[in-house]
Amino acid sequence: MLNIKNEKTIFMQHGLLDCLLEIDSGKVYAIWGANGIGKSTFFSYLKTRSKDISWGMSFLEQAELRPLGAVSLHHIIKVLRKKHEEELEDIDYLIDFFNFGSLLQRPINFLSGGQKQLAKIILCLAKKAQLYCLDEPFNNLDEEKESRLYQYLQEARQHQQKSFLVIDHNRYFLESVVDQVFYFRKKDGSDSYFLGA
Amino acid sequence: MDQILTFLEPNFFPWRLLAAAAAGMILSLSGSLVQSITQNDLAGPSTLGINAFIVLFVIALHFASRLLALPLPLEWLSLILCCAVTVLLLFFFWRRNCGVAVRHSAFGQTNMDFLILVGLCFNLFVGALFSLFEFFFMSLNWEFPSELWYGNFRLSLMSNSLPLVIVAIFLWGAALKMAPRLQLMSFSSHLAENWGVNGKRVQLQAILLALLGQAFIINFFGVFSFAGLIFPHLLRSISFFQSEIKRELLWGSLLCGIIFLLLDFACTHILILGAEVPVGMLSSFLGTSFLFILLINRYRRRQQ
Repeated sequence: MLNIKNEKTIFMQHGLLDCLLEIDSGKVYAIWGANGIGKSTFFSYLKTRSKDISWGMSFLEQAELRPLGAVSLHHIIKVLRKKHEEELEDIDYLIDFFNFGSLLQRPINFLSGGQKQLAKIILCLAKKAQLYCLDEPFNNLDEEKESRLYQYLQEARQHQQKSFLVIDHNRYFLESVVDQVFYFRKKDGSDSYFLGA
Repeated sequence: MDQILTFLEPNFFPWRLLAAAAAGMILSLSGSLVQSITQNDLAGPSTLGINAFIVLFVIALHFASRLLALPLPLEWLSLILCCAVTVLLLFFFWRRNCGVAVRHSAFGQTNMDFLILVGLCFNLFVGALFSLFEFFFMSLNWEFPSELWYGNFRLSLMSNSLPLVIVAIFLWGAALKMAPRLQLMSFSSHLAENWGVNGKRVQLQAILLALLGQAFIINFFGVFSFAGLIFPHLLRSISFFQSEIKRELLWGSLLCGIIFLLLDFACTHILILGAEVPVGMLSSFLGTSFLFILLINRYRRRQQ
């Protein structure tokens, strides 16, 4: 089990108080809250603390891909295979699973928003980790790709005991896939926030 | 043996050709480094104010040498001081855990554009300061490096060309070593960090390398404005260089060295009213025109 404790001093400027976030392996957790409450900021905090956390982590950011030049996913996979072979999952399986094969050689800048999102998801899931932190992974995805991602989350949690921490506003996702929801809420009358399950 | 010695004599050996080729390589490498770490095709040593920063040192040192009557080789002193201050500044930023804002939220991209705007303003400021000091020096009949602002290779000797070649080879090797990390950074800084690349360290290393190369060129041969901006674009217009940054660094820089050599050769032999046009003047004219076109194209893309 992984315990992540927010330190009061770090979060004072964001108004977060001490709290405990308990995450078990093989589960999908959702982080839910109003816009601007600090969900992505929390992921940024986790990233800075990732070296102190014993679990391997992989992050999916919200920001759109805007690479320089005519780089395709194929070129990035080539670099990752050369330099990060030990940290790679079965990326060919991921490409087939998400039907990205035909887009592999196309420059990222020529892809649609949804296709770019898929490329980001593949690159995030391609890293060997125990905890995947996905910030709004379903943005721009069509229905078919959404259901593929649900399917992947369920398979990965059941067969590989991987855990997922997902920021999303999708009710269907919350009800169908998620094991537990963390609500980010503003405490009445103050700047502080707390997490409740 | 005599023939070999004659060949190596400063006046005979084509040091000018070597200097031009090495400068072209360095300018191309600097531009590629800066653009890949910022993921911005408007970034370059000129637009980020790196060249202006170095020129400021040269002016300050000339002024100080006049006041204090320093009997020292100013070019080397300026180069050493510039590099020392840069290392200190970068160390300071490193300790404060700063980095160039390349976050790709809409605000993050605006940060980079703002940085380029500041760099261009700094260029204008240093240009004005340069003119002011030139006027001041000329009034006092003091020697001033007027040719600094428009670089040329007329005064190429073994003493300044050979170090430049060594720097070019060093930069080439260092950039190639960084190529996989630069490829990930130029794709996405978030992705690079996710895969264990220390983004800030790569940024600082790249800026230091770019500044080292520019400092050598500017101190000995002058400023070649916007060449570092044009060369990466020129390379990326060729399909061979479009997708892999390693090719841009490895072969592209060599190609740009040859292009710069040919440009200097053309300037030497095609005289305008009996005078040689400095290559730096040409690069400045072409570079600003190119920047103008880039900005218009970018505006049109955003409108779409």
